[in-house]
This record gives sequence, structure tokens and C-alpha cells, in this order.
Amino acid sequence: MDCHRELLSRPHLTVISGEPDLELARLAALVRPSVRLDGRAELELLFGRLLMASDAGAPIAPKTLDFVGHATAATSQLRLGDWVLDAANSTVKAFFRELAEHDALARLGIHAVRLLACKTAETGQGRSTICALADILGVEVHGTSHLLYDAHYGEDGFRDEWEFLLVCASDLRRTTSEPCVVPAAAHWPRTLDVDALPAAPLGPRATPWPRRIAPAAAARQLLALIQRDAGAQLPGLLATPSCELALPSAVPGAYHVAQVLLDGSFLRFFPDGAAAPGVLYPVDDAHLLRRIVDELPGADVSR
Amino acid sequence: MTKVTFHGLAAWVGAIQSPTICDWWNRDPAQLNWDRGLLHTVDLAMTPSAATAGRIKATEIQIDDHTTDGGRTTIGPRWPGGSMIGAAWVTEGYLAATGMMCPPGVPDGGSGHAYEYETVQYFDGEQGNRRFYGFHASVLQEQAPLSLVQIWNPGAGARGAPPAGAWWLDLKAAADPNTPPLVAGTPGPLFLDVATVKLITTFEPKLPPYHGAFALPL
Repeated sequence: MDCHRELLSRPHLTVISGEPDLELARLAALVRPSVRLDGRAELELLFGRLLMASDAGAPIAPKTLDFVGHATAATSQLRLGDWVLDAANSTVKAFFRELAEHDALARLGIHAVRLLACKTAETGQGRSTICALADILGVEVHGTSHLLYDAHYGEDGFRDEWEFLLVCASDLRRTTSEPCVVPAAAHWPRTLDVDALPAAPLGPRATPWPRRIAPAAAARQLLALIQRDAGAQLPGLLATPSCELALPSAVPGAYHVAQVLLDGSFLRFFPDGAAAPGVLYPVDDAHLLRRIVDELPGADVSR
Repeated sequence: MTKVTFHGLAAWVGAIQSPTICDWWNRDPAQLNWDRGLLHTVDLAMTPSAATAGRIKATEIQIDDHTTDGGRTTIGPRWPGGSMIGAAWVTEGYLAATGMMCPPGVPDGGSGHAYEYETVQYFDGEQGNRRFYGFHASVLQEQAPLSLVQIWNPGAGARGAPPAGAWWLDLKAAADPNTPPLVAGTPGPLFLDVATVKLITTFEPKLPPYHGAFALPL
């Protein structure tokens, strides 16, 4: 348990592939403490033990999770023992999704994951893996298009002065156009097609703003106030909704969700799903929209 | 108010003098007959972050930080191991001192408008430590407090290429207040703060022009 407490107190949690290899052995001797492991099962065990140590009150330092190993020959993807970190593999995705669902990285103070093998950001598959893991884990994931070797490491792990050799998922998205890497473009105009909006039953939610159900007649009135062909994204967290609207859909019991923003000047819809950024549509008459919304019945579902 | 404007240029490193000092060409040396007389010396440690840390004065800054330190320069940032070909975002003072480009314009072999290759950095005053990137943009519609803004990828604004996208933006909060505001319906320069730039889907300028795997409509 002591070694896990020490791992949690360091700025880098260095996990080195356990395959028999002189270079990796040299790195393991150099980086203290570090962990060598042979694949997914051992990694899962390590996370379990670290979480136990964390729950037992071990001090947690903000840290990076550094996977160190060799890259596969054809696709430049990092190998941990016999386990290749390839996000195209559903087992790999499921493992990291489970970590995310248990909030494991945040509980261990991990703010970034780094795939430290040669040229892990050099191939399309490598870049795709970096971006997919970042999406799943909700933290920055780094790779490199350079050769990495023991000169880049010190006793604390990968040395800060060589960080410029790394590239992160956010940067990859800004510098490549591979479909697997770049998020959906900010298409314009996003004409509002109500029938194509996702619909779902109302369920419990944690958001603080009220939710109201719009009957069909009120929904028609609301939609008539929107400039349907002037939709675009609003980047960032600038606008907090004042109210959420549930608009009726063609499926009984399922609703389209919209949010009232900026004092009724805009409605935000989610044509790409609730997890994607919404699209804002300007409202011609904010005053009238507020009046209609105020008369709608509340629709909060208790947990 | 201390303000420094950086201009993005293509950079080929031709000689290394120290871990951070190098000599570089701003044009493809193969087309310059490898003329060493056209090399310019720059210290990649003379950056905004060095000024913010108090190691140098803002007037001594030569070049923007490397991308790994929050800047836009992609050569270096130190050797051995640093990049030899990439982008150098240098100050107006450096350009004047070296006689490279005066007035600054579109980098050799590049395209678009000069302001698409500019970054403005403030160090104090109301905009203290904020950075703004230049874009070619057009306001399509306004609905207070937001504006529907069409933005082109840097370097693509003057060639009839389609815009990178359109976004509803609060320009009072996101744009450099010290540059003239965009007039609705008239495309022109827009300097957006880095926080907003990171949230919209645009590419970095292609420096050198052949840099990057992405397919801009060239």
C-alpha cells in the first residue's frame, strides 16, 4: 500500500510496459517509483489498488498518467505488454469508458494521459486513438510524432523540458482534417428541422433551471418565433439557460428538448444529441416568447 | 498599455548556436541558393512568457512562445530535438531590426490577408495578458448581445474559399476592443481572444505553406 501512496503523491504516474526489453528496463530503473505491467488485467488491478489507497486517505497530487512502452510497427500505437492501446478496439474503449464512469482519473488526481512511445501521433490510427481516449476520459491525451528514449526521462518520469515533443488531442483537432480526429464542422446554416431532432422521454436531471412542457399549440407558437435558418453554435459556457422546454414529438411520451437563453432572445436545440454542442436560433420576439413560456406547466421529474 | 504584435512567418532553421538561439531563413533555402547571408538570428527564449516571468522586458521580446508553452511558434523550442521547419511568430520590432518585412504582410508563398497571420498580445492594462488571433470574418446578423459571425481559416480569407463555419459570438467579450469593430455585411479583420479560438473549429495557418496534413481548399 505504501508504494501506491507514493505513486499518488507524484506529479507523474509512470506505467511502463512489462515486456522483456533492455530499453524499457533501463527506463524502469531510472524512473522511481514506476510500475511495470503486462496488459489490461494488471492495469485494472493497479487502478483498483490506487483507488483503495486514495479512499484510505493517501495524499493526491495533480498528475499525468504516463504510459511508456514501444509502438506497434505499422500503426504506431502504444503496447502495454501484449495489449495494444487502439481505440478502434471495443475492449480498449470499454476499459477506458469504465474508468470514466467511475470517475477514476479525477479521484486519482490525473488531469492528462500521455502515450509515451515513439511516434504515437504519427499515424492516422494513432491520432484517432489519442482523440478517442480524450473524448472518453474527458481529459487531455498526448502523443508524440518524435522518437522517445531514455534521455527524455529523469527520476520523476518524462522530463518537463521535453514536453514540446508531445502533441495533445486538442492540437490534433486543429491541425488535421482526418474524419476520425476533427469534430463535426460548424456547419452553417443549421436550418431547424424539428422532425429530425432527437426525442426522448423526460427523466430526472441535475440542472438547476426549471423545465416546462409545451403542448402542441404552444410549441407551434414558439417555433413560429424562431428564425429557423439562422442556427449556429455558441462556443463556450457563456449562456446559462433560464428554462428548459420539452416540445412534443411524433413519438408518444418522447419530447424534443430546447433551452431558453439570454432572456428569450435565443432558443438552443440539440440536433446532434444531448451530448453535442447545441445550436442557437434567434427569436424574433423575445417578449412574446417569455410570455408563452411563463404560461407553460412545469415538468420536473423527481429522482 | 503594453502591446506586442506577432507576425507569423515560415521558418527554416539553418544554424544552431545554443539550445535556444538559432539562425533561420524565412523562405525556402532551396530557392535562396542556401544563401547564409539571408539567415536571421533569433533567441527562442526571448518570448512573452519570459517577459511575463520578468526575465526580459516586453520590448525585448523577439518571438512568440512555442505551441507547447501557449504560443504559436513551431520551430524549436530548444535543441537538440527541436523542430527545424515550422512557423516563427516574430514581433514587429524584430522584423524592423532584421529588415525582413516592412511593413509586415502575407508571408512569402502564403495567401490571404496580412491580419490572418497576426497575433496581438497585451501585457498590462485592461486587457492584461490577453491574446487575440487575427481572422478574416464577416458579421451576418446581430441579435443582442450576440453576433452571427462567419470565420475563415487563417490564410483562406482572400481566395474565395468557404468559411470554416459560423458561430454566435459575443464580440464585446471575445474580440480585441482596440481594433475597429466589424461592420455587418462587410468582411474584414477580426481579432478573437484565444479562449474563444480554442472553442471554434479553425485550423492554424499553414506555415510553411505546404505544412500540415489538412486539406484546405488551396
